[in-house]
Amino acid sequence: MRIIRVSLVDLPEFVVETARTAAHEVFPGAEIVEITADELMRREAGPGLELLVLAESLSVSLTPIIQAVDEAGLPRWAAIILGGTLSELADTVPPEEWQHRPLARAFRSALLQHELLCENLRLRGDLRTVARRFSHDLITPVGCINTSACVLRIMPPEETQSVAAIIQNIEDSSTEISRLIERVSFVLRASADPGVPVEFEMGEVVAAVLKELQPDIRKAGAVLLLPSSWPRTRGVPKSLQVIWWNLLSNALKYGGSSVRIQLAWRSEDGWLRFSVSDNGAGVLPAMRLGLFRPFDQLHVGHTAGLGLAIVQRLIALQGGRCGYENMPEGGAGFYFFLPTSVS
Amino acid sequence: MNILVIDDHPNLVSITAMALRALGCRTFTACTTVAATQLLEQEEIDGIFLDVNLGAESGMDFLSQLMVRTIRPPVIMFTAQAKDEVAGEALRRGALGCLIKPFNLQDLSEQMNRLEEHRRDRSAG
Repeated sequence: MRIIRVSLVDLPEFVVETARTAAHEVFPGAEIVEITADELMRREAGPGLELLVLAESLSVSLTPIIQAVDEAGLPRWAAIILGGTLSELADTVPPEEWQHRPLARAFRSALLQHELLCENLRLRGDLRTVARRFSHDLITPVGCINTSACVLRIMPPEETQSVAAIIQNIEDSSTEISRLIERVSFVLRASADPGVPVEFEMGEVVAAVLKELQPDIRKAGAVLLLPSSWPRTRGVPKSLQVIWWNLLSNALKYGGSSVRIQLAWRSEDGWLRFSVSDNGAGVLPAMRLGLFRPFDQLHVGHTAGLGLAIVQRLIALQGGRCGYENMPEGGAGFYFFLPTSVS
Repeated sequence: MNILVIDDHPNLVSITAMALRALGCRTFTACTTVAATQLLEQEEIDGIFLDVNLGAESGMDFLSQLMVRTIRPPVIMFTAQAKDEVAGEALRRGALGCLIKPFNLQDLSEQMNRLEEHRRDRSAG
């Protein structure tokens, strides 16, 4: 189910009721709020889609409101202006059409346009990421194999240790390439065809990931703390498997020696909140901002890794959101929310 | 020649060092700028191969830092990006050359010749 919020921003009193009726008609179940422009800009972004219905005569400039972007750099909301002057910022509805049917049509069209625009920007970003980052990340292990082959060619066979090291290098690089192709292909396939959410036991998904990661858990000497039970959840199990794999792999990789990893969940305001935390060094403040850089933004700069970008995309495709928190006793905490929709 | 290889990818560091040893160099390796700085203080380094992208760190920024040191070994930058994008910037910041990934022994050997020539010019000057 899509979560839609319609915000009526500083609308004249006489048009509020008509706008409400129109919004109800076109988006049954949507949350409709009256809000001032100042309150709107201070409010934190919520989940789902949002349509702003703005009065042309707002006391503040419309431009920063309409052009606001979310943390992924995408337009934060759809917008429609009630007013007689044509605007390049958003579609306008002139006063003679301020009846509920024309408004309903305008609202639906604005939201649809917004969704298409966001989708278009995401797809273009994905293409740029694949063209630049993915190819860039592939070139290093490909280069390792290439250089290894060259060195092998001139290496005297009796230098068995060196030959073994080169062969190991080729094996490691091949694994790296396969893993990278597999992960990126999964994200692209999931983005093109997000899959139908089903009800499933989260415990079974987590157990499968833990089984897969057993060698790494043993190698790291990690201690895992699990909840006594897991909830029944609605989502795409394959995507959830990749999400848990990434979060747990990160904890194993960056949690330090003898890491303790805690997996947890709780219900929170109609959401299910899942988390993976460790007792490692945590994430430096300077690094936190770009942690969940969206996949379609990875072509800009080089610092972000693929793992959390993949997590962010897969969670978003299931209508959820994710984040990072410092643990009170030290260590890193990664969490994600999924909508609760299991009866 | 004593060559320092700096790249955040351990496999690339290891195979590049091996290739350079096959070309007759003595090699030192570092995956971070901190480790590289320590080596520069401890060892007499004649040339550096430095990756543009050092994970969370920028090889390009480290290049600029190297260029203001009292002893400045010549630097060849590694990059996986199209040459025009970074080569100009690297040369502006003082690099001697750029090596595009993936590279083979012939490419490495050409860059080693550059480093040798540079060393000869410096000694002559």
